[in-house]
Amino acid sequence: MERIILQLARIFAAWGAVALACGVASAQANVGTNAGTKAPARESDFYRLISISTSQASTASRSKFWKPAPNELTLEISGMQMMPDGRLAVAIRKGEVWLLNHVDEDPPANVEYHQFASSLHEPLGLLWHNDSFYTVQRTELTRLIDDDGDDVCDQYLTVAKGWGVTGNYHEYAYGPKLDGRGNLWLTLNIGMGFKPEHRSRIITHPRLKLSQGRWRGWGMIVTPAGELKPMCAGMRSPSGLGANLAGDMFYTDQQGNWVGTNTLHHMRAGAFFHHPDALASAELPGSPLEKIESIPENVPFPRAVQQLEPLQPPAVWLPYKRVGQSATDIMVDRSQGKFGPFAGQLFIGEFTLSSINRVFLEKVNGQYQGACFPFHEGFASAVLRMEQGKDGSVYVGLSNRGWSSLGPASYGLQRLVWTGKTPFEIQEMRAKPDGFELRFTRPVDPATARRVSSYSLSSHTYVYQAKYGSDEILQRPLAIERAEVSKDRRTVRLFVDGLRPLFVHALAAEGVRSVDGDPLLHSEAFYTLNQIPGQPATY
Amino acid sequence: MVIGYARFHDDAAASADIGRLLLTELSCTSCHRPPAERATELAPKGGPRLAGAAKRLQSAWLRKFLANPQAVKPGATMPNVLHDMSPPQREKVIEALIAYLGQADYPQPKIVSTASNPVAPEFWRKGDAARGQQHYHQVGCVACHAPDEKFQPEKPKLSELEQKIQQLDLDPEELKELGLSLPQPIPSVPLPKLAEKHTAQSLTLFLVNPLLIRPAERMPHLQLAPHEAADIAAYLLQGAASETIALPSTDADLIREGAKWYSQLGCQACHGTVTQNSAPDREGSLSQAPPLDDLAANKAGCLAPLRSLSRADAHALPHYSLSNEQRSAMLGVLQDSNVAEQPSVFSSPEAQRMLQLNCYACHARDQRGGVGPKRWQFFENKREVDLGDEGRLPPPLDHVGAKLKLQWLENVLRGKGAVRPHFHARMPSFPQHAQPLAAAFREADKAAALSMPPLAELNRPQAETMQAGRRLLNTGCVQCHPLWGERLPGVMGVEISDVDKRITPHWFQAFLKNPAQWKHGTRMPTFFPNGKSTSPDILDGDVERQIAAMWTYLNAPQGELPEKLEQGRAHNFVLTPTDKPLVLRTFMQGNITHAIAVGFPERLHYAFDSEAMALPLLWRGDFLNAHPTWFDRFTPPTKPLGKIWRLPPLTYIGQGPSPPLELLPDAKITGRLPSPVPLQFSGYRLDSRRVPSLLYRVADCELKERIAPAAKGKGRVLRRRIQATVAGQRKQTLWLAVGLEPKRVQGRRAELQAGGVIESTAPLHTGKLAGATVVLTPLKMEAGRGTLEVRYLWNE
Repeated sequence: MERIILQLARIFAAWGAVALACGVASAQANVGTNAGTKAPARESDFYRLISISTSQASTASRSKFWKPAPNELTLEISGMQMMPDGRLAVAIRKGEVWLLNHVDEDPPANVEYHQFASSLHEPLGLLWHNDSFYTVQRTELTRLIDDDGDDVCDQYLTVAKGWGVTGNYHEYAYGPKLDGRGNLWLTLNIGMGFKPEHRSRIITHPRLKLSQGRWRGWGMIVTPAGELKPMCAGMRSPSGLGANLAGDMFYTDQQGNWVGTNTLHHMRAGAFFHHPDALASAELPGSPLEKIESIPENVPFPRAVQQLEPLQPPAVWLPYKRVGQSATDIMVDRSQGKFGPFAGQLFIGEFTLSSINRVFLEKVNGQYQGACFPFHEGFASAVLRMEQGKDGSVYVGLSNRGWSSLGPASYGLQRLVWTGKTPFEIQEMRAKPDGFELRFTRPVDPATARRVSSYSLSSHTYVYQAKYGSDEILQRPLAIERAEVSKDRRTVRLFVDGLRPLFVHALAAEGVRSVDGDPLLHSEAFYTLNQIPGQPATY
Repeated sequence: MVIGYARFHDDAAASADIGRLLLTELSCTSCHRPPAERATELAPKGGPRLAGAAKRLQSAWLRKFLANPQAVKPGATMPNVLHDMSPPQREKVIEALIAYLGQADYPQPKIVSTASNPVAPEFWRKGDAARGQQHYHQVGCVACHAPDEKFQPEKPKLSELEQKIQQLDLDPEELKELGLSLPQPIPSVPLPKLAEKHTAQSLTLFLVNPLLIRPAERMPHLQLAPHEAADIAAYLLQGAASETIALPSTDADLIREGAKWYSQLGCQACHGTVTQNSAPDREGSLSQAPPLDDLAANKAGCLAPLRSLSRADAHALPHYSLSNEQRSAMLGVLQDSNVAEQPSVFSSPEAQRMLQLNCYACHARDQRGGVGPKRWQFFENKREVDLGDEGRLPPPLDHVGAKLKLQWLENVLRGKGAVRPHFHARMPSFPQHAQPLAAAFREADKAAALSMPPLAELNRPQAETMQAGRRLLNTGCVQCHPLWGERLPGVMGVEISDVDKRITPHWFQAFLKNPAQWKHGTRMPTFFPNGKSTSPDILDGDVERQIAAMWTYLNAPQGELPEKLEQGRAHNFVLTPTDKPLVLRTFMQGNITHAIAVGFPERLHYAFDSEAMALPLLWRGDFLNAHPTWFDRFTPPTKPLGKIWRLPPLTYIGQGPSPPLELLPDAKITGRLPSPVPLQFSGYRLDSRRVPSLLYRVADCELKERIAPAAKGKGRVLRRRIQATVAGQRKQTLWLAVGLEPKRVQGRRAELQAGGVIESTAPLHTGKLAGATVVLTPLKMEAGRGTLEVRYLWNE
């Protein structure tokens, strides 16, 4: 039965497409230009955005005396968890947890809101685990237990605390997320702009003289036995974390000092990512970090990796503006195809540009690396959290307070639903010893895909520096010698000379068409080539 | 089309010098030198900058436009300069001109996506026509350009005049008999077929800052965000524009030929050279063409009646498609006597500029202009609150030169003085005209300004004046106006805290005394009916002094808010426990970063420090303002709102049989103190009355602490009950510091120097902690268990 409905839906979708094409063709005939070409596809042709609740605050997002819209739940979503019973639980920034019923209706006309918990200190994550909620507040990881089944929290139990909280506004704490081994992960921002009253809680590295609160700029775990353990360091503003299908844990970081552009990192014991301030805690008991005696500065990032042994490059660099300006949450697509052709890939929330980007990962020399792609834009406000429903659709939690974002709203909840139409996209981009392999979501037109002029490729990296952000440096165009199309027309091998390890390889496949003559919905892909297959490991 | 002429040429009171508008707007004086004393008055509008024009506009469109501007863009002020050429020659010249116009780069706004002003990559591709249609009809485009007949605002609005006429419920003939009629629709500035002319990119970039291309400011800068410009472009182009511009020829000979014709045809006089930011250098053309006065004296060229010119003469001239009426209107203003004898409503410099810039499309002044019928329905405020026309239509400009301070008026004209953020419509910016137009308004309204008496002298202490002003604002103004960003629920109006930056004091006084006299149809009521104050108890009821006190209060740095606003603000964010306790985890005054503040309906409250396992603060009265914790980006510590009872910053200061008599002698009791015993917080549990029990470990003991007002304490007693267990059925004693600076300690009761009494179920001692005297009490465990109760009693 379901299958029949799905097929009907596809037929209707196809009719819609035909009607649309006709409409456009006649409009073009009126002006007598470009007759015969198709209107460019839009993201909204493939994914439908449903607004469940969006609101405009009474003040601008950076206002000193920020105020929400009057008389309503301030749905600044900072954590989201789909419940086993189909309700959506959300944490909001002012410190509450709400249970939302009927969010999956379309239109969402009957959504019910029920308050579960209150008085949390800026919770920035929400997880359903061991029949209770877990959330990271500014000062602790807390378990929320409802004793009597009335959907109101009765116990706010401290699972772990002990990281430094100086009172600095920028010391956000995020999580938890669960990895494949049962560990709960959390990440801790570094503080910025300390005031005198913050000093009593600041610690300093004995030799590097770097100062922060305890474990600030670190990723930590709480083991199944309940032990809080520091794992990896060097984070700046790690506002999103999430596991892939293999259960390995990743986090995103945001451009700033020491961080050339937004990044995605694989968190594992002993890794150092970039921001040196985190090293204030490097020699505390329990630190898994090797001794660091000096920090290279003002060098290209690949050279810094060579000079600083514990420095681990990001699995993926997200080039500034082209793939977001402020990366947030990480969500793996567990829908096995119900959310379109990207099953198993990671989706990365984007704050400033109110959008979502997409990441494909593979392992080369035992390390994660891969490519990022623009995916969908036009959300009503900053995308802070994402959570997938059972039907594969993705709930998107929004809030832009304190910073700025595109879109008319200040906060709210939207839902992105796959229409069943498959966009023409670069589905996967893999590194090869002599180039790249592109897998497309739909068969390509061999003529355009074989033509090397359909592609342009260049590589660049970033400066590792205390200065805010970085230009793309050491940029070099790369010649594509040959492009081979596979028999099933879904895969193209690009043969490239001059690959550079630890550099970002930026591809634009403007000229490639699908067999139906469609251009790519997003023609750009950015592969972080930390390791070249078949060559010795670079770090 | 010259929009001011089209709208007003039938206005009898305008006839004397409406022709002047044609002389400037058709840029006649680019080539025909005006009399020296009238050079400013008759300064030509000039044309768009043409650097790189063929790189941003479709050549096919340029070809058609150059061949016959009026045919492609009806109402264009560009004359046909090629009409006397043979078709093959014309084609050749056009190709050369287009090649020439394709060489330089065209001026573009610099758009950088920053963290505070984000812009999507390739935003011009991402316009949404439906949103663009909304913007087009809301932000002000339809003040000048035609609204879309298919577009209906959600709730079509009638003007107040229309409403009144409709209420009469008469048919048109009856209305006519009564001498009533609806205002007639006003003409629109036509748009060319934009999809043939532009790409989405070129039109979007143009809309982001039209002044880069059209420095004359007739198409003003509407301060559109890049994505709004993209939306409007998408709407105007309707998906019909090509994505790319077909680049013009780069043939060097052709370009040289184009340069020759550009010069020969006099293009430069209006358009300048084809370099970015060029301004026309007119001396060449002015010396070639006959002066304006000669034309007028001889009734030559455009000033001659149609068909009176010889065919050969006509051919030699640029062709403007002028009617006889227009010709004689222009001639009229050049015959000085005519103007002097019958000054028209548009004679003054500010009126002339308003005509040129089409300010009248939005603003009325001296009973002329204003948003036209069939257009005002699109003007709406963002929350659709009914504030009358005043709450949605651009304001009339009567007396504006007396009302606004000169600098502010300039700011407004530069588009930097938006005081009506609730409007969808935006005040565009006219940077080049801001200074002279503001000065012209000031000059024109000098007499009105002089008629307004200055503010009264107060000669009272500042504090008293401020209180008087604060009370007066409370009685009226804050009902409709926000003040320092604070507003009563539902209030939408002009912010008044910055009034002295904007408004002259004499106008402030005159307006407050009688709003309707200075602003026709305003909803602003008078608070001084018949010249009497409605608050006779303030400043002896003296109207002038009351107004002066309000002015003083509004212009002082932000002080105490008027009471109603203070209450409204508290209502939003002050937590008031009513039927059960409220909990807020927060940063708190006193450098407590792990505070758990708990407030009770009995108006007794405490803050527990879950880092130090201490109870440093009790207070009585109001609980907390949650705004700093909930919504302030910089998370300042929140403060107790009631009267504070300070307790030691550490509670657990020792273990074992004897009390620790002196601890941390070198530290200060006001600072952060290191705990002498290991501590671990475990959370809290809410009981059936939602009172939290705090759970924590001290050394090897598990503790549970419940703090709440005592049942029969009449709101003056806070009871602190601590239950402890220690593993192994052992004996253990913990020492608690429960009070500061006692006056007298006797048995289980201590009186404090600062007032208040502490009672304990165990004996009380005194000791020293970080230089302060503290009250100590033991929590003794026998066979692994113990309980302690400490009570805090307020004296009154």
